[in-house]
Amino acid sequence: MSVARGVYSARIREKLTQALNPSRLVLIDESHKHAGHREDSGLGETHFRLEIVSSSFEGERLVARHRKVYDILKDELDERVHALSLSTKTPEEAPEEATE
Amino acid sequence: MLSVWARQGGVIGSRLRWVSLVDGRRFSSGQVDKEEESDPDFQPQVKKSASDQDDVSKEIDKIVKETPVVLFMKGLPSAPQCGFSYKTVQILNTLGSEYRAFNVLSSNELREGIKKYSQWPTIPQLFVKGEFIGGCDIVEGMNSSGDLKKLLDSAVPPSKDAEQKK
Repeated sequence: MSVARGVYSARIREKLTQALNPSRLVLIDESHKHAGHREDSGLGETHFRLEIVSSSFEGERLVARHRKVYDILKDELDERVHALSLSTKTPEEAPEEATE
Repeated sequence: MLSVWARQGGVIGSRLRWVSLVDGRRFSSGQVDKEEESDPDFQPQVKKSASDQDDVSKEIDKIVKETPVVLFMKGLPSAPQCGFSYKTVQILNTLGSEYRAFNVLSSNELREGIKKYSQWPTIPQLFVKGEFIGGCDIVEGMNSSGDLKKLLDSAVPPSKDAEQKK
């Protein structure tokens, strides 16, 4: 497990921060776990774990929340990213995690 | 390949070669059709016209509406090719609900078609009663809360299933 630092990670963080104004955003690059996966290009930055706490998720079901994230990251998913393991919460749902 | 189609009764138009159409529960473990082993990247590529894509969408629509529980995944239930597909299969198998699995790695048109159809960019994808439910994380979440079991039972009544086995 390593905190993501690559080019795509930076793009993902920037886009999500702009769009969702998250109170918590954790992005972990898990691509190494999938090395040798039949679709592994060897470039890395293909699989991420992403935790977001944002008030913009309020009143939305899980599918809508995930769709929102996928829409924001459409280009990254088209180009490189195969999988995002998503945790999407509102500050009320994750009060203990809302502050760093 | 054709024999698979014959056995499946040609549920899907024969123009589309989704040979990995299997029933997840009845598929015996470890058994992988040789066809599945060929990487889609090495299969002949044919450019698809817009109408072909529409056809794929229609076929997918038909499948998810006619089948109570459908999983689009990477690999087969007996041999998933991705950790997320594996996790989802494990959950469905544990709940004991009957489902039908499609291997998106067997067909580029299915793989791209399902993403367009559901407007969801990743695999696996679960459909119940014609409705898109979600990917691995959502299935896991619904399993923990007990909502998945309720939903699956409403799609495939467990009592009826048990009677069939007797």
